[in-house]
Amino acid sequence: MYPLWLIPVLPLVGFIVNGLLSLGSAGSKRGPSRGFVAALAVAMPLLAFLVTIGATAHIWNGPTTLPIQTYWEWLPIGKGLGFGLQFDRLTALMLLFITGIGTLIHLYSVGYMREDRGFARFMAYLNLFMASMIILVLGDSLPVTFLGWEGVGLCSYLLIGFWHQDHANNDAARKAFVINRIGDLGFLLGAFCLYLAMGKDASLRYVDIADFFQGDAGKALASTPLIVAACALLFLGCTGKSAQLPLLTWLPDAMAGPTPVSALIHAATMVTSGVYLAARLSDVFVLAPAVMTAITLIGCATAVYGAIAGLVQWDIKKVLAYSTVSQLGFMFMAVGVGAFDVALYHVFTHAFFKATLFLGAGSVIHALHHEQDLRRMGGLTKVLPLTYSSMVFGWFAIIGMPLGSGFMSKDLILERLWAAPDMFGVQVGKLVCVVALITALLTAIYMSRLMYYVFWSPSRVPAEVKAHAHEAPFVMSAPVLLLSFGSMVAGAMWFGAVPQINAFELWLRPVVEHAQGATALVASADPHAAAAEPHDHSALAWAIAGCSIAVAFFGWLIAHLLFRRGPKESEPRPLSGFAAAWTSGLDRIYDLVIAKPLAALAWIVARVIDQALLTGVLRGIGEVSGFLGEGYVALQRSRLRISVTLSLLGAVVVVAYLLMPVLSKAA
Amino acid sequence: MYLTALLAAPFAAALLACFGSGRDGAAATRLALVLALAIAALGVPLVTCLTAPGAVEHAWFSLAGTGAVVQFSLASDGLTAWLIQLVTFLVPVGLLASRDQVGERMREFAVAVLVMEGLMIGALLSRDLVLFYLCFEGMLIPMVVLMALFGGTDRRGAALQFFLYTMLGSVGLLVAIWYIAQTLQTTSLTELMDSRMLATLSSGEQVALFAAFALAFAVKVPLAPFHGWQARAYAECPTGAVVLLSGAMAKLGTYGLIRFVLPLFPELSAEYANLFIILGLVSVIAGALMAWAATDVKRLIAFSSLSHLGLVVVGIFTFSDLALKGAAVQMVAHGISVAALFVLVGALESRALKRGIDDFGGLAGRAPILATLFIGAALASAALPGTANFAGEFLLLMGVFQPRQWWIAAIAGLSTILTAVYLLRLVQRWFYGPRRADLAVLPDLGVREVVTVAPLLALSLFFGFYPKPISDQAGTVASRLGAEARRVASGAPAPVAVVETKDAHAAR
Repeated sequence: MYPLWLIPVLPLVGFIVNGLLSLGSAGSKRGPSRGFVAALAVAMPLLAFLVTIGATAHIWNGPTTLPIQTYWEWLPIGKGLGFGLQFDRLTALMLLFITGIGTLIHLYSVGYMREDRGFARFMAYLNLFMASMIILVLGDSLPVTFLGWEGVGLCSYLLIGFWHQDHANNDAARKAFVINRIGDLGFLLGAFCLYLAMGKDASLRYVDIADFFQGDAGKALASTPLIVAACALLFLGCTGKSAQLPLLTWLPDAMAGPTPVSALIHAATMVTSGVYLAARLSDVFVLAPAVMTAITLIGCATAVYGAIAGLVQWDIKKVLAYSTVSQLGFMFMAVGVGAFDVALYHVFTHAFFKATLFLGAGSVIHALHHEQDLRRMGGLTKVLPLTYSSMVFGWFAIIGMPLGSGFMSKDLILERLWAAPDMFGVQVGKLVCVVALITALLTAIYMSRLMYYVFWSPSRVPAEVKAHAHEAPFVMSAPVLLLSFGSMVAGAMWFGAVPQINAFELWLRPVVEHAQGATALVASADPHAAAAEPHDHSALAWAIAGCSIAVAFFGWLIAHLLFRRGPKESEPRPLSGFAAAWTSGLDRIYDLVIAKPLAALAWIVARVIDQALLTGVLRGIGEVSGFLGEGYVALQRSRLRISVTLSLLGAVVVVAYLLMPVLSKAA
Repeated sequence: MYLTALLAAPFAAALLACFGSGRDGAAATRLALVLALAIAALGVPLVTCLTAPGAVEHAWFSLAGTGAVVQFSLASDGLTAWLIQLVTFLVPVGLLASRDQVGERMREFAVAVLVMEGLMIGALLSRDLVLFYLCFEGMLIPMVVLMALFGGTDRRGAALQFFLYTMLGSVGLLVAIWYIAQTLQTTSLTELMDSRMLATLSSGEQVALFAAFALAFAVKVPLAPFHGWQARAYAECPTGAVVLLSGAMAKLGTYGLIRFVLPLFPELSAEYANLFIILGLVSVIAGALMAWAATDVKRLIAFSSLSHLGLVVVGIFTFSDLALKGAAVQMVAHGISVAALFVLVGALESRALKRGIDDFGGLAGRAPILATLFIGAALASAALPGTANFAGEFLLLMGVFQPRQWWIAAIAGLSTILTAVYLLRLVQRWFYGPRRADLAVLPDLGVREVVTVAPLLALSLFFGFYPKPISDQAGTVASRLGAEARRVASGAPAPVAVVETKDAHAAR
């Protein structure tokens, strides 16, 4: 049996050892040996990566999945739910980039966090995050996935609030956890709905869920209230973890954490777990077309929201955070039209180019002594040549320049959106496709704006900072270069316009083909779609590719005209006007509609209802009993025991009196 | 024989502890600790042995004025066994945790704790209503003594209030038991359950008896609106006592609902299920909201207990198999996590002599071990997957979730969000933020305190990943005890066997 358990256990060991070292050395001035901590923390995800490669080799040719490994019985659900791990092609894909990119980011963190007193604690948290994320994608059932799902939420909380002396960071961390918990409740209730829907063969294991919903019994449940509720609730879980409307406000705040955390958790891995869950349960989601339509629309709205917000930020990390929100929206647009493989492809390419951009931004911040404001950057090309060249590749990929990985995946999303069947008589797919193209234009603008402000505009860096600015050490620049290389070649795995180059699609086909076949069936049932699709497919693909390239260049051109001279204002000041309203509008609404009323309710329940009503009643009872016990006040001063006994007698009398009718009736 | 020994052991230990040193607190602690650990070891075979220990039953005394002969009747099944583990395990924890607060009066403290342990074990083992009542009410005496002698500044008032409130709650139980003895000539639980004799009473009588039983246990849990005693008592209790009060004694309330109310009154339980579910939901939400507004951290934990045990009551009164299993797991899980929280708050209180939510700040830097363990306990309490509380809450919510009553699970589920809100608020205020100058001298946890808390968290993790022993043994028993109520609630016809025993009884 292939030791799948090693993959999560290895980083877990790293967490335990480094965590104990960090606790044990709390009293010392410098903390545990950095060399040891770093070596262990990087080695563990690396080994997990190697074990993953080994497992992938087993399913490279031949069976598409390893036998499920169940280790012990966990929960008494159905016939007993085991704690099991499942390794199929979807898991393999997720694990390869989670552990691969994860290892690179661990390496980068060694350079970035080296001087921090909490270095061991930081690396321990990162390892715990890896273990949780691995459990999330390796679990063979919804509860096991939920273990990782909440585990990554916890790590996100711990890492956002890593510098916990500052309450701004702690507030951001707490917000992330609480908002994620809202989504998590959706996850749980959705899982319960699924379980109920499955009737007597109910199980929460993915294989059983897939079997059931691929079968006739499952298909008969399509669009029933229970299935719609299940999908809607599970998607609520996805919106929490993957920062979609309405639960997205925590992600921009999460940038309070150290930059490697933003790259690993809040861009490349954790935030994509919503897409993973949707793909894992694709057989269920396709049975609720109403929810699928809603997913597309929510994804679309989120993409637009994020892109506009990204356009007006001054904090380099906030630009990237809103960009992540926007890109996640693209993924969910694809999910909503049943293009699960394409959504996952965008997850994959996004992981590379967004990690590149975040780590590059981290190097810039590092070089400028923790300056994050775009107004105080500019002209850094020569100062940070390696960072610059890496970030150019990331930028190239995200704005959709031809042959960059972002172009490949985004183009496929647009194509699938355009080809999507009508939903409820409306050409939702085509409408969304147009909006998505506009969003792609915005993406090109805000990302080029970032590049102009950081690199291609006159320097606004204060002289004393510039004097000390230096390229990041090798442990930091090497991972960024590797990732930027990845963000170019990741595009080679699926070239949509050329039918032969689609390794990625073939790889995922066993996992999602049934669900995607189901949506295709719906499509072919529609006579127009069936007639229109075959003959103009490749022409359509080239047309969309052309639009998408034009949009990328056009966006760059606009940015060039607007931003090449640098920002007009050079002194940092908070956002105002439209920018502020757009950025924090949701927060304000939630605060006004949910947080404040709830806090007021808590106050009323605690201070008014509970105090006045219950304590008042209680005192009344006490006094009546005391009266019956005679001399309550005097006795309370002298002897508690006598007082208690007498009060007790009084109480007996009261109750006996109350029960008298019953007793007399019986007698 | 074994069960009698297990029941007698804490009393014998209390007697032995009397001979301990009255001046040397350390020596008294050591003696009490050894005794408590020995009792805990004695109880372990209850869950590890494959065969249930032989039940003890012999006539004890005849109840004056009635024809009933009280049986000295002890038996153990999975539910009893696991709650006894909880009790016997929390006693050493409580003793260790109280060392600093109690000081040199440890002997008296230990005697009271051991007597209370014996009575709790008695209440769990007894299968006779009178014996149960004696233990169930008897527990209050050592508890009040602990509270009144070793508690905080408001200890007398809190002790009196606690005593009156819980006594008043269960005085109806006394009358009910006496009434049962008089009319049905027996107080044996097994006999009452098997023969369904209570069903022969008039409906008015049944309702009165049901109300008396339910009220006694609802006060003990407590269930809103009977929680008036709780926050004040928890706040004034010394650490060791509050560990036992919240961790173990409160579970006797939910235990009583499962052991007595569901099997003795299945029809009425089904009929009034919605009342208890609504009261449970009110406890869940109001408890969480009050915990959010609380400033005294011991009161905060008290309200969080109200919230978490409210969910258990909701689960019990949906009667579903999963929910009852979840209730069993959650009873043990909550006992562990709430004890850990109280021990840690006690440790901080004994250092700084305060425990308000605004009294500390930035402790993570100064006392990282305390911070780590506290955050761990808070996360367990918030039912993070991997902790026993998650196993319990997951099963409870899943068992409660039914298509026609989806709103119950939806409302109860809100507690998972609210718990995160108030616990993380507490964690942030106490442990994060800038270091405060007024807390410059605040030592981190010592070895004794780590040894007290770490096993609790380790157990929570263990049962989080492997709740099977509890859910199989305790959960199955709980589910069986609720089976009749479940059948009535679902409207299924009565199985033939039950009708036969009823006829047999009528013939006799």
